Amino acid sequence: MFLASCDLIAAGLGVCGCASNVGTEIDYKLCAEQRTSVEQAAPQDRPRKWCKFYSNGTIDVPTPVFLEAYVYVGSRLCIGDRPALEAATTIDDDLRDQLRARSGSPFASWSPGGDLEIDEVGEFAVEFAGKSVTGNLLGRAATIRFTPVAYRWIFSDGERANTSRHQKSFATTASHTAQAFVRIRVDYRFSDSPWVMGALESEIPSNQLRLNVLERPRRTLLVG
Amino acid sequence: MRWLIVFPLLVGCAASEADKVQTSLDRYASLSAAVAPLESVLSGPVLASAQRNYQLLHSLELAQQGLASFEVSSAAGGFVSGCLDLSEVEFFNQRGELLELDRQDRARFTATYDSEYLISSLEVSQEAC
Repeated sequence: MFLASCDLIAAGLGVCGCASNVGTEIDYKLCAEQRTSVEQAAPQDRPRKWCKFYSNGTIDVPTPVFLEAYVYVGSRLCIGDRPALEAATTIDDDLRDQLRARSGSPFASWSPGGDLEIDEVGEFAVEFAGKSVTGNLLGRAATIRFTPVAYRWIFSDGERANTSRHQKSFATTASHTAQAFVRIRVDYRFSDSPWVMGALESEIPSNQLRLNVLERPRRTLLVG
Repeated sequence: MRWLIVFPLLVGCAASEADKVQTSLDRYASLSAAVAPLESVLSGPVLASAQRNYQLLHSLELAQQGLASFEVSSAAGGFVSGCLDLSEVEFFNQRGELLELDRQDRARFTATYDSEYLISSLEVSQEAC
């Protein structure tokens, strides 16, 4: 059994059946192919049977006399037999199977939520639940898992961050956006075999956050 | 003064990781349509797949014309991604007829490579680029 990888001939022919798509989530296909060869050997032993054949040893060139004897079934042709089949045949069978798993998308949010005031600190967080999908691949248990390995935030005011949670404030009143990108590593394994780490690593985006940053009117309390 | 002359030469010669893997992919693209020492550019599953499909191409008596080209957009830590341009690649059957294929002419690809820049796996997405 081997894992199918694409190659330039398969790509050129448009038959890369195990391609993975990376968009707003990772759609990973684990593919396997197994060639089974079954050799059907000639039967080992048979009962005997009463056999007639011509004295020249054939069953199709008659002679004035013929011979009769007990012989092992299949050991020679007898008058009335059909021609023997091939002594051995080989049956090749290609089995293909695939296990497909989707990573799901990261979800970004901020607290306290709603509008923010200038210089008010908001906490931006992105969640990606590590996920495992188990199924059967050619009769063997196989598991694909998605693990977040890195985070990246882009804020519309130019600020960047590299953590899953980030606290920040905005200095200008405007409609701002924030979006997180999570780098996901895909691992897989068969049955109890060791994990094959990093079969694919790709970055997928979270939902885009839009928030208004306001400057609320200040009231001055005069104390006399 | 002597160091001032040597330093630009050193900078000019240092190829980046992306350049090196681009070179490996270019070599693979140039070898893909021929009986080639693919072991010099491929390893692992992609080598097995390439050898198997070369035999398949031969047994089906299909002929390939034109070469693919890789455009690397990022390469780091053994992972490379970018666009694979297949628009020049055509296949003809034994009667010389062009095969009509259902494929993206420019598709996103991801690949892995080892420390010697041998390509070890290749995935071609159905996503155009």
